[in-house]
Amino acid sequence: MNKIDVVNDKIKSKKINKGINVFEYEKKDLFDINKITININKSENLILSIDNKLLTKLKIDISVKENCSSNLYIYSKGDKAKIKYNYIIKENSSLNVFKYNDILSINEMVEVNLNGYNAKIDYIFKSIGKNKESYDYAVFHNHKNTYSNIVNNCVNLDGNTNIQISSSVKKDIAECICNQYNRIINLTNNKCEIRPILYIDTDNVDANHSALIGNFENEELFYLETMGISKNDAYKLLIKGFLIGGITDEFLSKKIIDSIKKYWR
Amino acid sequence: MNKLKIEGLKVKVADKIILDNFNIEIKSGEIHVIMGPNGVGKSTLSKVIMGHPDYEILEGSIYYNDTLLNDLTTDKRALLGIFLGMQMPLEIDGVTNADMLRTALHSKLGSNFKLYDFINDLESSVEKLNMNKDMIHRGVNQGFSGGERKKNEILQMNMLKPTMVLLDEIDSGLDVDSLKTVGSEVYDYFKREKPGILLVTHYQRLLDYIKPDFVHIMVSGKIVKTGNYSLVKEIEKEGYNKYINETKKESIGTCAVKEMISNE
Repeated sequence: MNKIDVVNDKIKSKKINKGINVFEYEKKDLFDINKITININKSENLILSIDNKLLTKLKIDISVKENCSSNLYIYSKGDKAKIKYNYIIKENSSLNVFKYNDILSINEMVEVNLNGYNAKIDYIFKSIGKNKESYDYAVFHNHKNTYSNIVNNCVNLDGNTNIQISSSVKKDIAECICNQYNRIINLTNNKCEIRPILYIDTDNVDANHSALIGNFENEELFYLETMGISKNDAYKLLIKGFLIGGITDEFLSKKIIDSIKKYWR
Repeated sequence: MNKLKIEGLKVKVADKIILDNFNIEIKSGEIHVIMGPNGVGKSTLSKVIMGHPDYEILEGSIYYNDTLLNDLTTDKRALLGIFLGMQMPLEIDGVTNADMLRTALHSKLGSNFKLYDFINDLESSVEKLNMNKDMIHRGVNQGFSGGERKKNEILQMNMLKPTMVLLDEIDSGLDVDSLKTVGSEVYDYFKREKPGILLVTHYQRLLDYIKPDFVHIMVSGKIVKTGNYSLVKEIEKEGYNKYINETKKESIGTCAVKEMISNE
């Protein structure tokens, strides 16, 4: 599979086919930030692995050309990061993003622009929060008959996890499907927050949003314990199910399982 | 010979007494049936035996052989060999049946757990229960019909091989064919492994496949009458009114408990 390895704010290595073009922009001064542009011109799948050893400040633009269907797997690990992702999906194209963050502290902005008829994004995001996690999404349906489905599943192990997500459908942009499903499993007494927002300025739109913060249900734990599974193992099973659910790729599944083994021994 | 012995059990939830002076003794190789009107504490009983955290034991004891269960955690009770087949099995997103059963058997068998044997047992049990093979790799009860969920409970029983089986309304939501499959499978398991079985049911139809040794009528949190299979026939004909009228105390059960908890 195509793979790009990023360390801090620079590409360390890349192994990509001709269907994908990658450009790097180096910052000009202290006030500027590095930028990576990825153009997906054919129906190719790609792994993007980011190792944030220092404080990473980076902008990543990902554009999917007309009539392409691609899977993008993003794994981000390390200490601290401030990253802005900008997705542009063009006519008759679809992008499935599967993403897992295992970072101590992160401030992430995600902008999605659905710029053509029948442009689609399915975005499945998982994270284990250990200190401070902040996610800010803006999804723009800029053309009629576009589709967005954003799923955020975060486990807050320590610190705080905050998600703000807004999806916009402007006037005269009809026949869109616009979904947000957000859940934080908060294993602490710390404050976590989800703000799901829908800006819908037209009729004929199918829009759903949900936000759920809390621990697993007592009944779920009891059900597993009645089979002789200890509370600790029951938690592990539930967390694994929560984080692995929807992830079909072996690369990310393995990373998630490794994290579960690390944090829930 | 294993024995579940409950003596003078008094249980409350949300300040309401659900079971009061409840007594029963179930030995290996015996099938006990508990019948009774809605809301008398039948489902509560099975949950209390398994140590559900919402229920508080005020008086009495639950022994499995020489072990007092009152303060034992749910998983420890299960590891002693007690199994609960639930009335409304939960759907657990993301956790597959195979993963759950593998973890459960690993907890029970430790280093004696053999993956190859597990896969063989699982496949053969799935086939016997006429379940779709894909179900074992789907989320626990995810998208399962009522009947499929009950079959899944029996699958768990077959895999975990308990010595004391509690089945809470395992017949509800089953069509005629599924009832036959589930009833026959439970009875086969009984003949093969000789566990003690406690069945909670509303209907005689399940007892066409599982012949009980003892039938208990429960009203207001306690057993008010014990008999043999002929008692089932009597209830089918005359209902519970005679026993309800004899019992003056306030009657409350799981349905009422759920309402109380949700109102808190």
